[in-house]
Amino acid sequence: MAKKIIIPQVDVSSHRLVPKHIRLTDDEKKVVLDKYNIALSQLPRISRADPALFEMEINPGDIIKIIRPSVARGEVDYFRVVI
Amino acid sequence: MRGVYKNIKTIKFSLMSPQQIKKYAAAKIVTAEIYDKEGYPVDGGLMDTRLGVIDPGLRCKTCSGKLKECIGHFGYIDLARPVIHIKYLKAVQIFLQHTCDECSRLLLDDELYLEQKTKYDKFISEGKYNSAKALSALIRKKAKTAKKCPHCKAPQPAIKIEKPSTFLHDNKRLSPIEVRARLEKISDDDCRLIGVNPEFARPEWMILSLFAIPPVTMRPSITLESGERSEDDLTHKLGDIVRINQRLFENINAGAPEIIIEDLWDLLQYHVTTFFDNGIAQVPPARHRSGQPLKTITERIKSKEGRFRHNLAGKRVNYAGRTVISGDPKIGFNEVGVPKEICMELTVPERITEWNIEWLKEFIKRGPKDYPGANYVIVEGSKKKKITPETQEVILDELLPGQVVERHLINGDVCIFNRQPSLHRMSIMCHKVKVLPGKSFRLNPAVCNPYNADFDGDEMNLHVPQTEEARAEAEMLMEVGTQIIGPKDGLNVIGCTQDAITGNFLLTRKKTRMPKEEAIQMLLKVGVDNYPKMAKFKKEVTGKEVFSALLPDDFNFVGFSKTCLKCNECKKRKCDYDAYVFIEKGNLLTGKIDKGTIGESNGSLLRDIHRLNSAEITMDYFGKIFKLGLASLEKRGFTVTTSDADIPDAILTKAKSAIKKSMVDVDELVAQSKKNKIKPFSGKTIEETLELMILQKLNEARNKIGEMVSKSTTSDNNMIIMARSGGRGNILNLAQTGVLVGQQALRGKRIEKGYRNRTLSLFQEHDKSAEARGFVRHSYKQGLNPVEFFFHAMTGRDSLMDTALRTPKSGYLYRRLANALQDLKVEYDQTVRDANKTIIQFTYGDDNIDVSKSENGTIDVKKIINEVQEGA
Repeated sequence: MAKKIIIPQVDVSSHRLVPKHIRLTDDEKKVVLDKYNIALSQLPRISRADPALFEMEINPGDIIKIIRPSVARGEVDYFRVVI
Repeated sequence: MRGVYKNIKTIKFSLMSPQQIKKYAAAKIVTAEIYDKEGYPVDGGLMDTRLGVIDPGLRCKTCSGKLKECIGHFGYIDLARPVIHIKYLKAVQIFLQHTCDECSRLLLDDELYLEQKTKYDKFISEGKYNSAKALSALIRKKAKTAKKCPHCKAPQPAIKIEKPSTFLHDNKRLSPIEVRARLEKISDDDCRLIGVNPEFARPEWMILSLFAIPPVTMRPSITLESGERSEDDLTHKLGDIVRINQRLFENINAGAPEIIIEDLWDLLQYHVTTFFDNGIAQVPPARHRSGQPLKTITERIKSKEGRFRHNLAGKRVNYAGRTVISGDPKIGFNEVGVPKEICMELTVPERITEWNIEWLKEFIKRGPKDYPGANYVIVEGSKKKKITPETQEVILDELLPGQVVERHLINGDVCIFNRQPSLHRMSIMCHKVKVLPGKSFRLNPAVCNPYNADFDGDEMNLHVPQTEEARAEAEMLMEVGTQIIGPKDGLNVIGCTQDAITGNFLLTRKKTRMPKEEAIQMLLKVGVDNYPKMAKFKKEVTGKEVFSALLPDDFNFVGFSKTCLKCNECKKRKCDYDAYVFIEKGNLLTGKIDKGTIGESNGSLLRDIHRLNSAEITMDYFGKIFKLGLASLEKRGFTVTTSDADIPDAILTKAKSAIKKSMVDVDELVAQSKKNKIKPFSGKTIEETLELMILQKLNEARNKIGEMVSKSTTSDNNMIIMARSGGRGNILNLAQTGVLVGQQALRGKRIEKGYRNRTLSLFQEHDKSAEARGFVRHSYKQGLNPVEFFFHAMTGRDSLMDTALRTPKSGYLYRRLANALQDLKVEYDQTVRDANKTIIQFTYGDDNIDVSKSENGTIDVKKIINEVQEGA
């Protein structure tokens, strides 16, 4: 049975502990998939109900780029596919 | 080595149809008797020789194979009445729920049915099996909601399961026969849409009408010492099934009343159920006469003692030993002391060549009873030959190059040493054998840390690699020397401990001086052979010079002692506390050597030596530093007495007044709170704020006293020396023995438990004073009063419970973590992926730092640049 998706009520994206989430365009998507030579299913996932994606226009299959702060490297990119 | 002669491409699991059971069966079992009067298996009994053989010498009647050649054959029995297979109960329910009670058609109306079917067929023809699976789940969801059959309009009451194994339809019992009749009517297409391929699993096969009897080889009987035969649990269970089945047949044929037949039927159902799973809720487990539950099919597979974790994931080995460990600082870090008895039992296979034949002959001549001897000789193509006084001469006469001698362990043999739990790669390391008298394994205290071992009764395992490859691999990859740096943070797991730290600390203190003769004697005892450096010794030698004698000549080092106060402006070599460790060209110029430079995981000096030298050389230096510490302690003598915890009276009175003052302060705070004068901290209630403030006050007092103690006692106090050097204990321990034990805390708070609103009945309710909430104002030396003692015992018991409960919890946590992470690896494109090549991290650790090559997770770029510049 699929779990019921609960739509988040609060926007947490401006909280200082929540890294920036950006939706990639189709072109950017292709670049990422080509770079790592993978199919969409091989990416880490993110729920479309994730609070960080509050009120973002997203569809399953989109790639979200997450820019995380890092002590050693400043900023680190991480990619997740919306499910 | 045998080659691959059959390669498995796919495995298909399916249900067995009654036809299949009959086809595979080698015999029909008709009687519950097992053996006849002479003790031979009865034909048509459960141990029928057509089902395979378990006795040596007998031949299988089906394939005429001997024991171990014949893997066994299935048999079958006709069940008088069908029974439900307990493991398919849920599946049967699904079939019943989604099909009509009357016409057995899938509960979808024609339009929807057609739509779903075309969709489903499309997925299958395109090979999209996962999508088809998802669609089936969807179809099941849709069909379940129907109240009425869309085809024959029959109402559809819900099908319920009455535990353990009966179906209720409109609150009437459905017999397995009825269930089976319904399942038979379901069409193949409907089966597919529900999500089952009828080619491999027709739903009616989930109701057993024929029962497959597993081969004897999977339920061998054991002959006890008394000559009695003890049957396997499965055979017992099968006996029950066959017996009840027989009775059921007889009763049916005799036309017995329906109630009796029903009862027997239920009994048959019970036996068949427990045959598959003896641990089902609401089913009383079938038991032996002794009362212990039978181990049937599911119990054989499941859990830690089951087939997977016990037999497939876990294997037992030969050439291994286990005994208690004890410490021996005189053997090398990479050695392990092995008792002679064990050395004579564990062996190394050594191939005879024309160069070692004479040497090995001596071993054989000494035989298995004299050390160092040999136990077996292996001649290619024939069996292992045991060396005994009778066989000895024959073996020696026939000895040829190419044969293999299994000789006793001797000094220097490679072995693998392990302590459970093996949480680390350092929990299994390669050591060299050192044959010692006694009955325990001996290991150097310095390697206790990686194994997490102590000598309070710990046992460890020893394994002897049996091939050249295994030995080479163990030596190259697992030697203690290769494991100095731990992979989790790049710090050293092996370093000086306890005495070795205290000894080196005392030696390298500023005031240590000794005559030249003593210094040289000490160094020679340790094994230092740097004679040029020793030649430079003057008549009186400082401890720092002695330590320098064992450093490499080209070694430069800068570091800080544990005593470093981290002043704002470092005075470097002019440090007032001699905490700036400076080594130039192998000479220790300033600084004390202590836990900060040679300790476990803090050993910056040890790591620098390791970085510049091979593992072998490093281990040599490590050993010498360790032994020098011990030697210097031996020379000076070292002990601790109760008087070491004596605090000068002046300090003691000062401390006492400090305690008094803080207790008065606490009372003052409590008084204020009564007058509502406490301002709460944000997010805290007034009570919580009061507690926090009191706790802070009392901690303040304890820290102040710790400081006083640390400043008061002379540096010739052995307890202080140990605390300062980091060898053992800390100042707080000293303060607790000498001045006061302090506040007892239960889960981070003062003690609150006990009676209503008070801790003990001798206090008033709501007494928040220090002494009523677990403040111990006496020292261990003074002795605690009964109330204090009680509070102290409370925290003591709490921490004991805590450790006892935490260990198994963290063990299970580790198991889950290890299972989840075991297939992760860094790929060539620097991503971390699992076995499916699914990405876990895009760059290792998000920063690409290999922590095992860093120091505590960071890389000191400045240090590297300095070194490169110096080198150029």
